[in-house]
Amino acid sequence: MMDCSRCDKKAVYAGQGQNYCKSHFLEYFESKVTKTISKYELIKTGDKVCVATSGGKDSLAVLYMTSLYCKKFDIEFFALAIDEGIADYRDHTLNDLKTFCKKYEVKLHIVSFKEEFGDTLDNIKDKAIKDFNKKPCTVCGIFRRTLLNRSARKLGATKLVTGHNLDDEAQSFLMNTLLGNMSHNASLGPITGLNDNDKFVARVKPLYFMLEKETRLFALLKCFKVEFSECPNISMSFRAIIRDEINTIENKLPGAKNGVINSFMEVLPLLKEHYRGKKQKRTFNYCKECGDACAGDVCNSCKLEEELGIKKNNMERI
Amino acid sequence: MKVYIEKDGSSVDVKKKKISGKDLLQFLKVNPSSVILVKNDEVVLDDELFSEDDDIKILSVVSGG
Repeated sequence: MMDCSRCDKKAVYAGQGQNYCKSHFLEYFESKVTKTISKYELIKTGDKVCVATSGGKDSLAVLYMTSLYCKKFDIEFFALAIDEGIADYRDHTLNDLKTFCKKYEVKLHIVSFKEEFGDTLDNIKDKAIKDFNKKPCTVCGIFRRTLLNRSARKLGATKLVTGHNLDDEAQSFLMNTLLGNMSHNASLGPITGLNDNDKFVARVKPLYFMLEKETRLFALLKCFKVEFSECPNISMSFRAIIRDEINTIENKLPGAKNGVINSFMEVLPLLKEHYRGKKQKRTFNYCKECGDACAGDVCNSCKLEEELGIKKNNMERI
Repeated sequence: MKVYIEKDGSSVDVKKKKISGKDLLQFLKVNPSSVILVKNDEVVLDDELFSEDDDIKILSVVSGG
C-alpha cells in the first residue's frame, strides 16, 4: 500500500508521480485551483462573481473554491442554477445544491427553461428528436448557454464561473478536432468571452487543470452531499463516446489527458490569433427577437425556439 | 464478497476470498481512470487488498451530462 509522498500516512490519491493522503490531497487541490484563478486572472478585485452551478460534484467543488477565494479577497459572489426540467435528475441535484448553499451561506438564484422558454426539456426533447433530428444535448446546450449569460448579466455579474474540468475541456478539444471544427477550439481555455460587448459575461473555469477524478475525490473527502447522477440524455451524445475513449487511453497511458490540455494551451494563443485577429475587435449584431449579441440577425436560442414552436414569455430580456 | 457499483446502483457478488483493487476492477471490466475505490468507508488505491468481510464500493467519477 502506497504512502503519501509528503508524510507517512496512507495515500488516497496517486497521480502525476505524487501520492497524497487525505489532508495533502485537499491541500494540493485547493492550492492548484487558487493558482489557476490567480495566474489566469479569472477573478479580480471589483468583480461581481456568478457561479453557474447544478449541485453536481464539479459545480459544488467550484462553488466551494470560488467562495473561499471571494471571501478571502472580499469579492461579491452568488450561485446561479438552471432547472432544465429533467425529471429524476435535476430535481435531485438541485436539492443537494439548496442544502449546500444553506450550509455555506451562499445566495442562490434558480431560473428554469419552463419560465424562460415556456416548457421543460423533457417536453421539448421528443419533438426535437422526432421532427427536427436534434439531440436533447444540442437543445439543452443552446438554451443553457443563453440562460446562464442572460441571467448572470441581469444579476449584474462581471464573471460567470463554470465547473468545467480538465476532462470536459480535453473532450471538447478532441470533439471539435474530430469534427473539423478547429475554429471552435479558439473559444476554449480557462477564460473565454472577454470582449468589449456588454451583452456577454466573461466565462471563467477555475477547475480547468483538475481531472474529473480529482474533483470527485475532493467532493467526497469534503463530504459534500453528491448523489451519483448522470443525465438520462447523455447516452445519446457524442461527448459520452469521446469521454469513454479518452478514459480508455488514460488507463493505458497515464497522464494522457494532461498531455492533451498542456498541448492545447501551447497552441491556444495561435488559434485565437488565427481565428479572431490579435488586436482586431469582433463586431456583433443584436438579435432582433431578444436583443442579445449574436453573429446573425437572430440568435441561436431564438432560432431554436422558433423551430420548436415553443412559447416565448414576455419577460424583459434585453 | 459483495461489491456495490455506484454507476448502475447494483451489487455484485465476487467469489474471491482475497483480491487486490486492481484485479477486482479488471475482473469487473471497470476502467480504473473513471472510478474511486472505497473500502469500509475509506478511500483506497487500487493496490489495496480486499477480503470477503470488507464493505467495498466502486464510485463513478463521471456525472453530469
